[in-house]
Amino acid sequence: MTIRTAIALSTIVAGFAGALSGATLTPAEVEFFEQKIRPILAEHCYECHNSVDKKKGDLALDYRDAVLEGEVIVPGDPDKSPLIIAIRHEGDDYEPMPSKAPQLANVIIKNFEEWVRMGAPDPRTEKPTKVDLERQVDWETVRERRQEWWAFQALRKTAAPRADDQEWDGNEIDRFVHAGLQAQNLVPQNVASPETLVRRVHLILTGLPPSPGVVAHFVADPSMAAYEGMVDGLLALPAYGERWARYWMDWYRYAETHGSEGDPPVPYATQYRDYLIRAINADVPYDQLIREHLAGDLLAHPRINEGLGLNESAIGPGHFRMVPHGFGVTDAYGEQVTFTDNQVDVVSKAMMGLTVSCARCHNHKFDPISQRDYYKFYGIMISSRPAVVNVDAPALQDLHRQELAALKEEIRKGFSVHWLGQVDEAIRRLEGGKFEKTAETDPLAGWALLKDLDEEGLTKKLGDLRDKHLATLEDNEKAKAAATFYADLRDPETYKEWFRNGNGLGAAPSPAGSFAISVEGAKAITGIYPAGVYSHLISDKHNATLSSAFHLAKGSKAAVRVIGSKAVSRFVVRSYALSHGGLHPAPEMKPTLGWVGLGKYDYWNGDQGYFQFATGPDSTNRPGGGRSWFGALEVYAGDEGLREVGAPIVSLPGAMEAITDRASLLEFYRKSLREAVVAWREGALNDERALFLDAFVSRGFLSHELAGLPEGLRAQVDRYRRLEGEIRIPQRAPGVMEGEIWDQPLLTRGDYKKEEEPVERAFLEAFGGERYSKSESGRRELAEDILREDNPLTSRVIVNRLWNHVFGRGLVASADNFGRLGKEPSHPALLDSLAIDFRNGGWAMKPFVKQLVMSRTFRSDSASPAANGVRDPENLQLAHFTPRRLEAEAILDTINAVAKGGGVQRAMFRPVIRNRLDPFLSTFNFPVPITTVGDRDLTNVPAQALALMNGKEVEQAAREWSGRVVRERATPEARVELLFLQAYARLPSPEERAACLAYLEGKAPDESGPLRVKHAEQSAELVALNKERAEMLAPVRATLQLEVDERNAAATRDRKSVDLKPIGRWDFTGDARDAVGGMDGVLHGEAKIEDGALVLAGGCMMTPPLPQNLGEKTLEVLVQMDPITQRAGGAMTVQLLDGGVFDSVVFAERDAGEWMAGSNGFARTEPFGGAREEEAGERPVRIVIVYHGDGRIEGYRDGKRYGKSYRKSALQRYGEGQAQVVFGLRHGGEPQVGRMLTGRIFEARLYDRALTAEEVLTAESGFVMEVVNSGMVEKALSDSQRNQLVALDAKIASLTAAIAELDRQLAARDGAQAASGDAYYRLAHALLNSKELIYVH
Amino acid sequence: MSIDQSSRREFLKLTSCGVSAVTLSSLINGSQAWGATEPKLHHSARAKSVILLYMSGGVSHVDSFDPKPLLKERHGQAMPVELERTQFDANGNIMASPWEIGRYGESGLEMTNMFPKIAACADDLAIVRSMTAKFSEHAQANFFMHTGFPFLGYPSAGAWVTYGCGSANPNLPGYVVLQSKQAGTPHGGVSLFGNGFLPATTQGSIFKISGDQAVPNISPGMLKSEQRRALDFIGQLDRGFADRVAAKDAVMASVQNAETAYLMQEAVPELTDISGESEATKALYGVNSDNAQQAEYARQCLMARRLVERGVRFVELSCCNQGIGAGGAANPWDQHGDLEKGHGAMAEQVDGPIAALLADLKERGMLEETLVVFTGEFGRTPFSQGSNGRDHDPYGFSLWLSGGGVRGGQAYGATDELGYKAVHNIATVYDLWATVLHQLGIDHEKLTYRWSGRDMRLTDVHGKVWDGLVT
Repeated sequence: MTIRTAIALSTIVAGFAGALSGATLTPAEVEFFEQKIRPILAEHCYECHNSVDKKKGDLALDYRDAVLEGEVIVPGDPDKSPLIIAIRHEGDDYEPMPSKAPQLANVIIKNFEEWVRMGAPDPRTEKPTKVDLERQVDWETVRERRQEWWAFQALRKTAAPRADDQEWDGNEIDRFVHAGLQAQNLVPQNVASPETLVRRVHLILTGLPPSPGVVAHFVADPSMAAYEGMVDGLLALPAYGERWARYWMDWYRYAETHGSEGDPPVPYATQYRDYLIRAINADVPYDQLIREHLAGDLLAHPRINEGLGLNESAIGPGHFRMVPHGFGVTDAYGEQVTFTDNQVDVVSKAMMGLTVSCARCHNHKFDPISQRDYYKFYGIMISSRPAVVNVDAPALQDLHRQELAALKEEIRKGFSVHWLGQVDEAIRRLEGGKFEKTAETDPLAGWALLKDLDEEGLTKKLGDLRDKHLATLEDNEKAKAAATFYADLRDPETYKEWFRNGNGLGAAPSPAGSFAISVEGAKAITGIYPAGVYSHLISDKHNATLSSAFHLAKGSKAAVRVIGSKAVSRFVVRSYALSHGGLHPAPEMKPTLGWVGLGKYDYWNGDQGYFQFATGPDSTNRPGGGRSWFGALEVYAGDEGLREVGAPIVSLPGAMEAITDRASLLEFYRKSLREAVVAWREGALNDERALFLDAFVSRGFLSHELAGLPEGLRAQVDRYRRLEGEIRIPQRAPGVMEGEIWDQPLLTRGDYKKEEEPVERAFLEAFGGERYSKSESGRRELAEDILREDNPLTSRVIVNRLWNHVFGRGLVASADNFGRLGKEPSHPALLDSLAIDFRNGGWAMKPFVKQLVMSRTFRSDSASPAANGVRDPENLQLAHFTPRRLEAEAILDTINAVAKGGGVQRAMFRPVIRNRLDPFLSTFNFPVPITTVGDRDLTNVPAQALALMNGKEVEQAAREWSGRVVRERATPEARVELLFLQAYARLPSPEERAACLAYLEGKAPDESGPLRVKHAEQSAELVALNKERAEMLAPVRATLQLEVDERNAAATRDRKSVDLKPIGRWDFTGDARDAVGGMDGVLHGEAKIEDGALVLAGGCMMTPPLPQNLGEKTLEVLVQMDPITQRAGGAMTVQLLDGGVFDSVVFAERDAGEWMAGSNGFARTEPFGGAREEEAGERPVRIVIVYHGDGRIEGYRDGKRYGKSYRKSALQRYGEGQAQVVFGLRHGGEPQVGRMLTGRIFEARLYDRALTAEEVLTAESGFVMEVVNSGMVEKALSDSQRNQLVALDAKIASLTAAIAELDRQLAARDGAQAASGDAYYRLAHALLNSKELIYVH
Repeated sequence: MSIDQSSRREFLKLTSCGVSAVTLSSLINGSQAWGATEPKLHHSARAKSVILLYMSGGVSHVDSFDPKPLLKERHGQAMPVELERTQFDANGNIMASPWEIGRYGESGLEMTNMFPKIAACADDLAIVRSMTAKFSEHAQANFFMHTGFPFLGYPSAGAWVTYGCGSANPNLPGYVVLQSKQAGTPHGGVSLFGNGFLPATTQGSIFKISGDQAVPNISPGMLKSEQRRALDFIGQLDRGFADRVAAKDAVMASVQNAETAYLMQEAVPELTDISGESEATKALYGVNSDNAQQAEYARQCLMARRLVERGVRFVELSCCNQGIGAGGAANPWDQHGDLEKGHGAMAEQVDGPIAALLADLKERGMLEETLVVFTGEFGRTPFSQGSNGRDHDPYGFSLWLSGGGVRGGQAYGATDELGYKAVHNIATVYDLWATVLHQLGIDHEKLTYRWSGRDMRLTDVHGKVWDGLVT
């Protein structure tokens, strides 16, 4: 629905004196319309209400007759004019206009009312064309109008009004606030109590509660001087930076991973977090931090932390890398648009409170930001590239560099002397050398290929080699000529065009003969190299990233000619930082020089990318690693590829002439080697000779084993190694490096498939300014523009942010949006005044925060003065301090601080893993790290209550806290006092004291009575049923038993007995005696010995105390069950005499049909996960549970491993005389339904060691005894008996299930009862759940 | 004061900072537990709830709901068109489907026999054969399907639905994600179910239905009666605090909140206890199936019905991992290899339980007001990857809707003759959610939330309702 609505306007006043009728307009009327009305109509109404292409609600407002026809104006009567009603957002009949936009400013609405009152004079007599319309909503005009919004107005200093109340006449804040209160006839609240104040200021400044000692101290002397001292002390604590750095992390959406599939890490992300903490604690000025955030790597005078040896400034740009990334993206440009947009979004919002990223697809809908502005920012961002940055202080980056370089020259001389004396020896070694699989391009291949040929053959082969060599050279030249990309990094001019980062790269490529000293191992030299770019010529701890200009991928292949260790080469498509998923390969270099293909280059044809080399720890896609290096010589892309030329013997001067036979071949090598060493000494090697020399060195033909070096040379190498050892592995941080300057084409409607002309990088149109230089990304210029004196946003935004974090609400409530959709300031003059002072005071944050917390405004009590009634319900005028819930981290820190009394690791150090954000913190509104968050949500959801009521964090804290308080104080009163002091920084009121004592003494009603009664009843019934069943089957069984006994007797005659030396052995042949250790059983309840078995049906058997200690052990029991549906009974148990601690062979306690190693409270129990027991009703099964010394527990069934072994906790040891063995009862002192097994036990053994698998198998094979099984019994029954049995079994089954459920409920109750802990635990837990604890007030 | 949609966030913020008493009562009485308020619908609703059957990893449409006879004919031949970039860049030739094409139901809707039981419900299905996604990678495509944006930080459709409709049960969240032992979170992590910038109450709550605790912290750490005593004691302290500071409303709201949490401790276990369901019902779903994954999925389906019965607005189900092809816990349908075996096993897992869900809902008269959506994040290529797999295909794939005012027995849109790209009535994720919202009584263009300088929508600036598919 639009302005035109259902209600018809019948009352147009025709012929009204005004201009709607078409009368001639006065110049004043025309001026009024042109200045006040037309621009508004054009900007806010024409888009939907025009007579050319969109006439929403059948209304056009773009010329007079259309307005007339629309019947939306009653000339002279604004209150009756639908247009006015709609823009006032009044009434239900009209949709508020403009729709989907904030209400027009009051002054505009007044102008429209005035215009209607004038009779709506309208000079627009002609119906406009499309072009007319476009001209009328011309962007410049719109932008200028939008710049009238308060936030774009220059800062204005207003003298603070004097307050008549002396208390409020102190600082500027109080005077402005006081004036605001007076203007609204509000009275200010009194100063808060010292207890309240001390807690408030601690929580606000450090996020931690004060200790009782500090509270007592301040309560004793609550003077302003004492308060100021306390504030200064808090501002100086490391905890201050830890709290306030977290706000910055919110502003810059700090995260340690990129999200998406695999959630890959942002390498070294925590470096940025720690940098923030240090910077805030050191009170680094805000303008400096802005410069560092945007261009810390480019500052002429970076901020050096001498203590840590860090270039702090260089860490600032780390936030650029905290963008979300897709995984192995197929659409690289789309990905670039998305992550660059995120950078633009965060930078503009965090620093200026502007939503520049809203202008990606079109000019901003509400603010004076054009689409071109957006692409200016885009260009600045994309002119830098993701990188890992060496953030060591320059002195460390250059440590010993000169000295090592000089030393190397000495070493070079030393080696040349050493080697010149070794030439003959080297040639002898060549003669004796083995050369399998040597490439023809290897300088020594000539020897291998030619040495055994006759003269003719040799000459021919030599010719072949030369021809091949020349052909390779020629082919390569052709391929280069046709390449879509070729770079020769040996050429200084080419190298200059590349972008480099790190202390391992020099200003120019290195000449042939450059070499690296090996810093560990027996050999002294890593390699002697042809000309190229090398990162490790001083140390392979030095870091390096080298990348090309953008290149539009074209051709079937790309390759790089490189050598290196743990370093990577990549074709980086659209600056995508990751290499996950196969489409963005980053092959690792090998320590031999050669061409390495960059896979997937063809896949990326048509996309922009750049070639890049990086030492391993500097790759943006994976963190870590120590030493790494690379050498890069050439890069090729195209359809053909380049071959390795190498340095075959024929490439050396004079080879063709000199070599005729084996002797001359050898001589040629000798001569060439001598020349090469001399040339190397003189620094006059070419590439071929460098490779030639390296061939002798790398194979050890020219020895460089440390042990064999002349003393002086050895000392030099040792010294080199010592000095190099003093260089540290650099501290690294995520960051960016300068790349190709890239003016981004404007994308029509944000669609990258619709590129228009590039937009030159510059600052926002609203502030004007020069285009940025063509020689750097523009980050440095952007920082200066953001800090420009005529840009009022930056200082307003930061003082407002700081205010917000102190008072819980900014003077501008929308901390991240100062645009039209944001809020207007509650105290504009105060805001400006603070912003100006902040800027003039050197952008210092600590003094500013101090000023806030010192103010009288801050120190007010947190209750609303009764006299103010319900006026100013949101407390915009700050008549009192606004209480608020703490942020997630402060809640957790407070809980842990009271629990441990300090010294806890703070929540802000918990990893921020995008795909697994911390559950506790998230529950309390920890923001998803995706964009700037200047004021977190403070929602109220049940998940929070659940986390506090039932969560582990609080439970553990309550346990520690109550334990400590009980230890430290003797009486209930004193303990309650201490709890209150620690939790709330105050003593309990008399009522609270009484309530706490009552709570300590109270008891929860035991609701388990009825359950227990029911349990007893059902248990008795079950016993009776089992008895009935046993009696019914007894005669049948007896008959069958006789038959079985006979067969068993026959079988056992041949049995070989195996003695595994148990400490107890029960065979139940006629009695309950232990055949080994004298632990004869005593029968309890309905248990008996019958037919060679212990028959269990409501009874159990117990032994006297064990006569020895029992640690490692094995329980073996041969058991049959009846019925198999039973639950939770124990077959064989070792327990302390009272049954409180036990280890038992238990059936089906947790899961139906599963055997498990039962124990008290499942302390040593985990499911084995073995197969569901199906057979033990039909025949006995042998269950063996082995308890190892390390706590590992294994189960066996019939000699075979049952499920998986596991270790849950330590082995339970039982002392001599304190434990016993029990059969048929899981644990306890007497038969108890729910823990009992029904069935038969034929044998049992107890061992005081952990049996091996072989032993278990032996135990198994030792006895095979036939028994009477239920199948036999059933078969022998008459039909009526069988029916009776079925009915009985059904009853038993359902009763058993019911008892098991009751048992489960009772056990859960017992568990919960135990977890409820003692009275002090419960009190501490309750206080941690109280709202006062998680509020700052 | 009524709670206007657009200012709800501010309202919540203000409340927690303490404002007027008027807002308090609507907070407490408005079953605010999980962000529920009376829905202010734009038009009358056809559906009350949504069940999203999410097939993480990407179901091959050409083997299931968009059968292509030509694949068999041209098996082994090269694709006749230029191929877009694929995730694995190992494109083979056209690969015939191992499944048979048939016509099902009175409507004669064409499908393969990959899902025979779902196919038997053809007359209740509306298949969209021209779906497109913008991303070839799981996590981005998952986020895109759930939120309309490729990264975390934006509200999931379930959150939007809860924001728009509220929850009809004060003790349960409006948006529930079901997971079980072998069914976990798709690539991208739990933010797939996040509330983004919407109120926290709208965020998806994960119920792990085969563990000890369906919801984190739902089991009381102490005796219930002890906890009652604790809450009463804490309430006493809190009331004292509320009286002393100017945050009475917020403090008391949070006291009330603890009471709601206390009640939820019972509501959730009651919900996840299916012992009260009849044996026939359990058998229909197959909750005791020998196929362990199928049994788990069946439980999820049954739980979905129980949730919808209890007023939950949006339920999302998760598939169990079979570990075939490249399919893992996060993407079980991802058969880059062994497609026949993998899709066969996955189809067996979900086919019966889903058909049972549809039948059960229908039987109880609930299907009419429950909109069931079956979709993965993209489809799979008509050409092979390696010898017997298929790569991701976001350029054309299928989903289906059922119930909730959907006219069954029809298909919408089409891919090309090989099923590679959508060519007719090209459909988008925005259209899907526009349609879902429409059935719930919400105009997707009007369900907005002002954030970061924009009026945000689930459908961004796109989306059109599939008018032909719904009533």
